[in-house]
Amino acid sequence: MNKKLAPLIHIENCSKSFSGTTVLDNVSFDLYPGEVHCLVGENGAGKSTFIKILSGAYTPDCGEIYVMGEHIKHFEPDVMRKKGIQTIYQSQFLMLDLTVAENIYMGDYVTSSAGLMDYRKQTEKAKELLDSMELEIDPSAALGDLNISDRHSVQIARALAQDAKVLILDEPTASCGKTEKKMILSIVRRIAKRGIGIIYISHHLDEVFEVADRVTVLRDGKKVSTYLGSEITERKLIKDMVGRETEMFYKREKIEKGNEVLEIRDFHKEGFLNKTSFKMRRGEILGFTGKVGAGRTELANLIFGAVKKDGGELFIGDKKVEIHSPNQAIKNGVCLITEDRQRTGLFLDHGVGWNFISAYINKFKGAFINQQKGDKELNQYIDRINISTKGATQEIKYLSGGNQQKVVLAKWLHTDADFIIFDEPTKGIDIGAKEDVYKLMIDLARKGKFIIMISSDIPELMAMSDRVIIMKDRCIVADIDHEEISEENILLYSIGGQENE
Amino acid sequence: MSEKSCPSREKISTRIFKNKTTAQIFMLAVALVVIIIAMCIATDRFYQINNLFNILKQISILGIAALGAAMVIISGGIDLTLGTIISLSGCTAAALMNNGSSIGVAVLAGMVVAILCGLLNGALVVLSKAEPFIITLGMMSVYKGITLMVTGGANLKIAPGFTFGRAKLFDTVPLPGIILVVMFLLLYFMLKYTRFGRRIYAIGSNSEAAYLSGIKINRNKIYIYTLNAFILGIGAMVLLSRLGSGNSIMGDSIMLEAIAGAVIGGVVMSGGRGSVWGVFLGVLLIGIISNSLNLLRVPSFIQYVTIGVIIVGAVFISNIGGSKKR
Repeated sequence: MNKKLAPLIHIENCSKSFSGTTVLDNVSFDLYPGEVHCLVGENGAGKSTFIKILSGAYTPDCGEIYVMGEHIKHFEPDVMRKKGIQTIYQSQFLMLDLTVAENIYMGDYVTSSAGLMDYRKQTEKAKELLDSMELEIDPSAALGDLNISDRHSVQIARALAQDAKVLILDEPTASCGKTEKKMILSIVRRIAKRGIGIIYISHHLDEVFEVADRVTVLRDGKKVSTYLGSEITERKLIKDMVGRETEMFYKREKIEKGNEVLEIRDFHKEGFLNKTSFKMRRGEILGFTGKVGAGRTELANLIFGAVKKDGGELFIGDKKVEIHSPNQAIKNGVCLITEDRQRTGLFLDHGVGWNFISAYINKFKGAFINQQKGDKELNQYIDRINISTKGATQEIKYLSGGNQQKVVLAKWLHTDADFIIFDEPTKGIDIGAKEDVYKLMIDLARKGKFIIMISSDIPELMAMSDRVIIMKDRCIVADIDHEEISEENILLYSIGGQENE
Repeated sequence: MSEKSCPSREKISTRIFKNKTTAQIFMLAVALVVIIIAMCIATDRFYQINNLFNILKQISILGIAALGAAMVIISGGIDLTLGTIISLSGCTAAALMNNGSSIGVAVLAGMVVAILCGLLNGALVVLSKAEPFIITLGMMSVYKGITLMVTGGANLKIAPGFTFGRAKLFDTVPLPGIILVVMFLLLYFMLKYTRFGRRIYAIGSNSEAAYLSGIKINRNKIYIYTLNAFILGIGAMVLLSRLGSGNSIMGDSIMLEAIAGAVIGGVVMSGGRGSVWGVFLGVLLIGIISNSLNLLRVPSFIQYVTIGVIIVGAVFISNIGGSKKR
């Protein structure tokens, strides 16, 4: 980093809100040539909004943004790309069937004087570029044959080929192993040496230590602090990332837990989940957390039979339960309320009542369904969890996210399951709806159901869970009792690198 | 936090009607009424009872096939072997009758062949995990080849007693028309009120959510293709008895019109939506228009153009009516 140079990006007091909710609040930021500037913060801290403004997808409500001294007034992805700001999103891969060279020059083809594709020249140019990045990648190999870190390198090469001055990397190591991670970090350093400014977003603090010249912490849309790479410590960053007022937490009522009722023994699947075991009691709400891809959703899918496991045993009560498909799971009183409700939970073409009985079809006696009966039963849920809808025939796509989620919950509760897995039950829904969901979960626990709540929302985990299990790299790394649940503890286990390696 | 209300998200058509499908069926009904009134003014031969039953007879086989097509499309699939299954099933029965088998045996064999074709289609779609479009495109050629082997390219005379396709009840109502109406009612009840019907919609609407809701996707897909073929087998028998002889391309041309009838009737090609009422009106529209054009002595090539324009127009209207992505 060289502060004597003019900044590549200079942002003053930038704010952005969506329908009354401020997601970015008075943020100022600088990026200098050759600097790796890390951006850290919890989910919802405003990182992705920040990136989207810089890449031209959003227009800020107020604030000044200068790119290489030029005041930006018009926000369009194309404008920002032409200014040399290139964004590489996590797990956004290029065309896996095409060669490395073709990917690098996609849309900006290398042509001969006659205007036709010149593949030989293209390959040569790609080779030169890759060599200059000190990468040993064959430009004529198919991208699909490369490993994850090489694919990322190709994406970076593509950005350089398009004359990038600023590179925004959004969790580039999200799906990487250790060696691949090292590779990517060293490329990032090398690229920075060329005078390119890099904004690096990561949940992994160990990476931040390795690569950052400066670190900026965002929390609830505000900039909390900016540190030089040399002054940061893990504790300091986590404290800045957390630091929330405790009144925001939901206060739940305590429930007496019953006997041990469930045991998961050695659930595993190659490349998906390492051997995992735990036990649960009746009336317990067990929180599961960890980064996306750490194994929590994977575990839920294995339990529910949505993905076939390589091995493992499930005991409910004293009975061993065999589940090889969601169909069997439902029959055995297990349900999974998936995270992506629109993609995996709802039938958007159809009405509220139609959706409500969609997991109940197999439970109707005989060959017929009884929609009227279903609609009547839906009305009970409409009252119980405050679903705001014009009625059972209203098409579900016209409900708000929170109400859609409540219909999904009602759909699953109607199957009368005992073991309920909630995957991010309050993601993307407003505070009022969140409280309704919490109340419902407590109510279920009181009835002796046993509940897993997978969540990335730490205040939610702390408020709701009797116990929290933290997963990392497809394993359980910690099992914390209610008394010891703290935001710092959870973050330390799930993203901290040093303590548990 | 206050949630901003956005009333503009709901289209006017869906505020009046329960949903888009109902809105499209309504428009279809309006179109039908307009054409019928216009034809009544244009020619006095249209509204005669004989002509109306004639229309019913003319659309009977198309209607039966369109029911099968609609069911498969609602489940998110497509069956391009539709026409060739009719040909193969019909020719199997015809060949047996031609060789002196009894009507009962021949009809049974024709139906069994149809069902086997459907079973095979379903199994291949499930096992290959490939697009049903490609699988059934390939199988279309296979069934066509087998049909040619069965007939040897000849026109096969059927048993003289096999004439129910030309029979009329009380000397006025054509029997195929009655069969069509009965099948429409059965399919209507199945799709609307049975668990199997509900699963068909669920798989077509969102197969991942359907799987996670405990629906056995593969098994049901095989059922769907097999039931479709069973329906086509019935269509083949009606067609065969009406034609009086079997030939290897007897059903081939029905495929496109059957799919067209379903789509005009509001069945969405991506699956999940559509109703039997719509299909009935869609097929009726095709039938009335070709009947009208015949009565008005419009040359047949213009008829092709007209049907094509209606298909494109119907899809156009249904897509414009749909909500655009932001």
